[in-house]
Amino acid sequence: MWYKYIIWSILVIIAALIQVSFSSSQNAVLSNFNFILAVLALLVNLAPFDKVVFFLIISGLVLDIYSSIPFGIFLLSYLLVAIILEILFKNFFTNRSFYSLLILGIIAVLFFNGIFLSLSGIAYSLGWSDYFTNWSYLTAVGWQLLDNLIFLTVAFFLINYLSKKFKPVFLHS
Amino acid sequence: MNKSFKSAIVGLVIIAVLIFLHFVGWLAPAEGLAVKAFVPLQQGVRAASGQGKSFYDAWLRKRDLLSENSRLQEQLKNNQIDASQIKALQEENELLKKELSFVNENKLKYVAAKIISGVSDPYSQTVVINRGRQEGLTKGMAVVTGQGVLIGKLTEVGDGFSKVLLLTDNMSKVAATVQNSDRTAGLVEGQFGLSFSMTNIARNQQIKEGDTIVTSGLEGQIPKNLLIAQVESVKEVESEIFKTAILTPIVSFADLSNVLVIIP
Repeated sequence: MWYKYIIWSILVIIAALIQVSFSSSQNAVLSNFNFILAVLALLVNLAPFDKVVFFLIISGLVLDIYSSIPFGIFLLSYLLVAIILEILFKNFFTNRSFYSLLILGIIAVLFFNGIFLSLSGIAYSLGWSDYFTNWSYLTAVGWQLLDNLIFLTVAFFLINYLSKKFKPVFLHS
Repeated sequence: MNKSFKSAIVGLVIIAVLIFLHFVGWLAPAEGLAVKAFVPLQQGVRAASGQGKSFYDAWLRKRDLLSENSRLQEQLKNNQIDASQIKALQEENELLKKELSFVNENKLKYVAAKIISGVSDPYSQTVVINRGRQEGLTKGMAVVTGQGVLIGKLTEVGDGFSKVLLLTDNMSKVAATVQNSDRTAGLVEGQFGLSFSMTNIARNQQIKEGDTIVTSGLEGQIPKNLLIAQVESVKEVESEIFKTAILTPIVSFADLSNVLVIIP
């Protein structure tokens, strides 16, 4: 069982490093692609929440290590978004449809950026950080929404093609 | 307490611990180790993303090159059009210079005009020029090329345009003479749109192959000595009282573009 967690950890670390390499890209489409967030939206639909938490802690840790803003902002932002998504998924978007996945993806992007901006803003205000954002961040959020929705669309149809995880289940009496 | 809530709490606690350890500096060795450990992985990811990026860049370059190529092709086409227009303007300029020299030498008043089209009917040898009544043109005026060769006369004058009946038209008749000592007189008539001939030449008058035919000036609107054609051959029939000369046009009627209308 433990080796599964190691494999998982390596995969998540690779995902986080992909995210790091995307963020450092000069290309607007790639640099604003929040790969972790997109995978998070997928995982909320597909995996138990403890695995989601495991995923976000490993990836958030990697991102925080490579970040120039105060340590923990990525970790906290991802965890809070994951909690919000889990609540929404469990109570409102239970049918695992394409539209609910896209809406969760949009909510993930909006909440993540809201939380991330708030936390980094607090850190900046308290003098813990020299970095904060400007209005161009809104453009980045737009790109992020677009990128993540494209990723989720492709992922949904791919997973739907390869497995039954997104297929509706009917109970027969 | 459900499982998700427990996981969230566990996650929060772990994060809090990690943040604490980071800020007290206890996590620093682990962070350093992680960064070192990630180096091969990161290099692999970087190489992969680099390849992806270079593929993307190559695609972008290709797209840019294609767009540049089509832009340059368009530019080349425009340049060719410009070159062609410049050439046409140069030719027109040369022609106008020649026209100017002709009219200057002969001290004739003229209106320069451009042939804008043929006519819509298939029956007559007529062209339309872009000058008309406003420029003082009237029916019957002589129309010449830049070198002073008569090509026809105005048959209809409108506002801003006029119709020129070419010498080759069957209906065209112009009083002419031969440039010789006899000043042999006759009538230049069109020959079915193909050529023209000089008719009504008195049998006792001299005319031979190679003679030059010019206007006689007997028509009030057409000045004398405007070049018309050269004699190709002379047809003389015993029973007829007049001789006929077959003429060779000096200019090609098919290549006309700019003309002068002579004001008498």
